[in-house]
Amino acid sequence: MSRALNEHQLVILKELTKHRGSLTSLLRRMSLEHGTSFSTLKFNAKRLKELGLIELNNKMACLTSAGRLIVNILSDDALKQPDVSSLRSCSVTLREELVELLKPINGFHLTSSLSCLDIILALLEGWLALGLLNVKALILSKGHAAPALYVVMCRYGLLCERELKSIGELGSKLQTHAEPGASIVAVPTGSLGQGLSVANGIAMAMKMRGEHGFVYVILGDGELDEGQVWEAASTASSHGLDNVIAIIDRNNHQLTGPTEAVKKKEPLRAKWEAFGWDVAEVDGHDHEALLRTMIRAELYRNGRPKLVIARTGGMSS
Amino acid sequence: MRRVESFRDAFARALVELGELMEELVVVDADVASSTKTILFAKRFPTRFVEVGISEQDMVGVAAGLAVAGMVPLVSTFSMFLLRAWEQIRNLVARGGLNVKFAATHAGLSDYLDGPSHQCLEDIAVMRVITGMKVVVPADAPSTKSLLRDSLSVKGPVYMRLGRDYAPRVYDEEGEVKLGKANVLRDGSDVCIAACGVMVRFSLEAAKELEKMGISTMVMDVHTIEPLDKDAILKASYNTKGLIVVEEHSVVGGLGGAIAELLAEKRPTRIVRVGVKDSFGTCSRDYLSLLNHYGLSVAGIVKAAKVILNEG
Repeated sequence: MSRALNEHQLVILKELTKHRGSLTSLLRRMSLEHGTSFSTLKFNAKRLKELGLIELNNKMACLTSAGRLIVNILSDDALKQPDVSSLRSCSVTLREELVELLKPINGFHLTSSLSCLDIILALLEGWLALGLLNVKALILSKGHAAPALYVVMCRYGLLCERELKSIGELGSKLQTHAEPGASIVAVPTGSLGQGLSVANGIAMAMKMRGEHGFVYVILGDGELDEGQVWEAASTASSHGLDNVIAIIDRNNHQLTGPTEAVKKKEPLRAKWEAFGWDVAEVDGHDHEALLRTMIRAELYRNGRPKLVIARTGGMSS
Repeated sequence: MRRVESFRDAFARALVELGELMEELVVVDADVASSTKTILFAKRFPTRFVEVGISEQDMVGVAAGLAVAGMVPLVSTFSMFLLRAWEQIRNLVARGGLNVKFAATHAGLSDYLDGPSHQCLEDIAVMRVITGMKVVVPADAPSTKSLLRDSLSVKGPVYMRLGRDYAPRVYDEEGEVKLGKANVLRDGSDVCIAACGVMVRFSLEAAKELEKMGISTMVMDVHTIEPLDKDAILKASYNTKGLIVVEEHSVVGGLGGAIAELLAEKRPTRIVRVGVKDSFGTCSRDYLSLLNHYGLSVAGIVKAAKVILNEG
């Protein structure tokens, strides 16, 4: 149910945790403070009542238990759980593991794995450990960052140490580029620019069957050079795929050098917005911020696909 | 020649019929539904029709996603334009072992007026080389329906190559064609004509001409190029003096290439390939003149048969 809420409804729920008094006076005050029209707020308050999240007693509004639960899940405090802060030290350990893991194979795309490690860690923590994310499928469009996925999978018991160490060996199930079967990805990648199209296909099938959940796809910034990414960006918005959540690992680097020197990516946010996406930008190494952004992306079922630009690189020139 | 039907009409009608039986069948289009005739499916099953616009690479990716999620997507566009997504077909669909079907219309020279940008003479070669990809080329309307049904019922990717309209009848009914099994349409002991697609009808006509000249001619419809019916081809090589392979495709890498590969290793046999040589195709105001221009005609096949016999 919380997945059907829009931003206005969430703000109203939040205000109600502090407010005692008539709903009308609350909405009038919010209208002045937030610059949102009174009628919009009134409409959304009515919707919250229909959803059973708020109740009215003599025009006095208060949260129902379901409403309180949702506010708790959404509040920043709820997300600041020990598990998330523990990810910081975990991330350091995993980085060291990655470096060691890739030493025998000439540091295979090490930097590409390092830059998206925290994104994958936050995603799997939110999905597998905390159960806060409703992930139906994961696609690693930047398939060469598979080692990052593998070390994180190992942490969550989805791979054993011995399997992990066999990466790239002849006969090993762990290919250097992501493949389904051995890892949790939905499709094989490695050739760039293809993941978002697949995410769209899965998301369409889910809509056809009325299934809940979200398709996550992690893209590199370099692969945005591929035309297919933009074909897919347009498909997602044209089909109203608000069950697609794309995360760009904005590390500012691609094979030949800085992204802006090879082929300009900026203005990145404006481009995706122009393609009909809701865009959020976040520090791609801040687990809390990443997880919060993903949760919010799942909440706004407004007919628009969601993009998270995760800033993971330093220099951008 | 007998009754002439249309490949794309036969395909689209069969697709709608199969759509009634298969709830998971989804058609993916790249803005050519009115040309491939999948518009019939779109009208009957609007929620199971996905329009991605003019973006073939995205189309293949979307189909891959639909297949991952358990649907049976059928990608349909002109064969030439599907080829720009060859890498996606190889890397996403085939490598992922996904259950995606490709129905490529306007293949060969059948899009005669649009010219070489639209004519597709390379698709059999580049599709049959992909591991796990089945390649089928129906000869007429009834076999289009049979092979479409078979393609949808087998697991894994299938590439179905279809002409645009001109589809003279070869078979009386649908049940006569089975995926993976070459059909011997007439027996003979001097030469064997192995053909696919619209050239099967031409081969039957050529066989009649050859019979008149006292040349006993076998005709085989090799509608499934991958997996090739090796037994049938080998048998033909034992029972005749040589094979004429006829296809509306480049002489390189298509059915002729597949048969040559097999026979060169298993039983070296004289082969003459009849197909398009060193060309991308060209415009024509009618289809049959264009086929004739490239030697894809009854006379062209008869000539090839004589080459084999004169050497003997």
